[in-house]
Amino acid sequence: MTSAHDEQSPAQFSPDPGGRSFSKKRGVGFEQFGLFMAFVGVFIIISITSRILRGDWVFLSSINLFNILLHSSMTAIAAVGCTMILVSGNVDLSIGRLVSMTGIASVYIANISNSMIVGLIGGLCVGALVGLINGFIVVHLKVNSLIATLGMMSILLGLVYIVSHARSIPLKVSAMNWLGTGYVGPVPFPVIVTFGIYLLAYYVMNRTIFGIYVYATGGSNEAAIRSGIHINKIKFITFIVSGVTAALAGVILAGRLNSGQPRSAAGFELEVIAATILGGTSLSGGEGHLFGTIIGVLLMGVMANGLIIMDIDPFWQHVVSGIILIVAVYFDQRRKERT
Amino acid sequence: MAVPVVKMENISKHFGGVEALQSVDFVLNQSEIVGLVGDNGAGKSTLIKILSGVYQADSGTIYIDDQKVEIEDPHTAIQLGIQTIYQDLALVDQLSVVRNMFLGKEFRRQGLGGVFGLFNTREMENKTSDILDRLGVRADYGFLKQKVQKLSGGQRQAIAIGKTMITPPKILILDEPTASISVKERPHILTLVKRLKTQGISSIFISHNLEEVFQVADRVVILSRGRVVGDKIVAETSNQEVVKLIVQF
Repeated sequence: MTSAHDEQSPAQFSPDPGGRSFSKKRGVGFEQFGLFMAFVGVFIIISITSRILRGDWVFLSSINLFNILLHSSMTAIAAVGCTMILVSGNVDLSIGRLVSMTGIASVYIANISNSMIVGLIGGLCVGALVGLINGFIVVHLKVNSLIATLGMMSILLGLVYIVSHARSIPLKVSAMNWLGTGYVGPVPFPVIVTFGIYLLAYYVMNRTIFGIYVYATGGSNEAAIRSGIHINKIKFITFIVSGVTAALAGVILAGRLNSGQPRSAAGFELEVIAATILGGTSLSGGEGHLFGTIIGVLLMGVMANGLIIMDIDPFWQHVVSGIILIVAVYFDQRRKERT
Repeated sequence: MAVPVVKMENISKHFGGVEALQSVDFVLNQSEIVGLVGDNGAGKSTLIKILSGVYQADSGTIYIDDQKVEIEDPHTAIQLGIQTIYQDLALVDQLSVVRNMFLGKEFRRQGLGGVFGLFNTREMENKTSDILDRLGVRADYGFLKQKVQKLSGGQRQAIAIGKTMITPPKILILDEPTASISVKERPHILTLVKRLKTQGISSIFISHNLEEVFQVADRVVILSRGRVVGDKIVAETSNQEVVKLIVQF
């Protein structure tokens, strides 16, 4: 074998032409560290502010911290699918309505079958079906994902009201209620589910060939195709995953509310997308990390909780979500321009 | 004696009323670098796109290793051992060097891990390091993990070439490989192309820069208005003669 080092005039490229030393810590890891530090900063500020305003440390109480985790768990679960779909270069705006739809569907199915398992599987199947339809519209009918899922959002909104007659549907299966309200020791069950989902998704996105292909599809369609990757298949799967994670969030929400509610999860998609982008996932595809996503979700959860604890009108939460979304996209675009 | 690996005979191609190629004959021999030159619209890109399966010739025959072949699409070309590096390199900026090198050809883990689609990072890193070493690119661990978007034009070109070496091609087509890199890095790329020859790879080097063609090629084929107007051994011709052939037709 010819080595570079034993030739007269080898084609030498130093690892870094600028003379800087790149390490494993640079790049995505560095950005995530920055976000984590921002989260810690916000956490400390809210802790101190709430102490000053309320005169107690209720924000830091274990009940409140678990409450933040519980409240964030549904956003976090849906954000897994959202991260995958954004990384693949698409977007899914139907998440929020799908949460309502699958919540109602799972309550219906559970009530009819008198089984939590059947209700859960039924809800997940509805989510997968909607994801499949979204994937078909985007991949085969070549409709832009923003428009396709916006249309689906409207379709689901209509269907939710038609199916439920605009009324809440009470849950009659107590085991399903436990999915949203149960505890394992001191830890709420949805938090454990979230942890499990993130472990699995982290592994899929960072350790499997499929994960590489999701990044490649979003990063450069052309390069992915020329490398022999079936990008349509990848896009299809990400839409299905997005549907299933939204459905899981919907089933848990139905369990928490002890009913299927047509008005639940209003604006949920905005919250999920804002948290995902805040976590460093790029709107233009190819970039994103689940660690960033979970930090983004928790950051928004902590801020929402802080507003409530500090007796600020909870509707400000929507204002904050909107501002975060705009600011996160702004910084994403600035970062793109720099690279 | 020269052993032809590619023989294209009487290749013609029309686009509407435009005759892009007219009965072109082209030969590439074992371990040879052929410079393909000509003005814009001379037919260079059309000829290599026919060889790489992007276009199909209207008429003519292609032989690979003396076997008549039909190159219906890029996938068929790759199966025949023909790899093409286009100007845009087809790299995914957001992925690391290793992941780009192996994109679409990842090594799976042994056993159950492989069934679940897990890739073998260590084996891919070792292989990447080995290939880049052969190409004269010093690649430490940090470099292998580096996102391609952080690399220089020359390094990206080296990665694009290295990518084709995962399954070493018989025939490598390089379309303007120095067009998007700095002047400082161009000699490195030319050295790298010459090194491929020592590894038994036959290359077609397309460039507008005759000086570079004369540095790397053994032979130069000149196209003008869809026809071959010259086929010269580099050692027996001059820059001026080639320019004359390009412009006189």
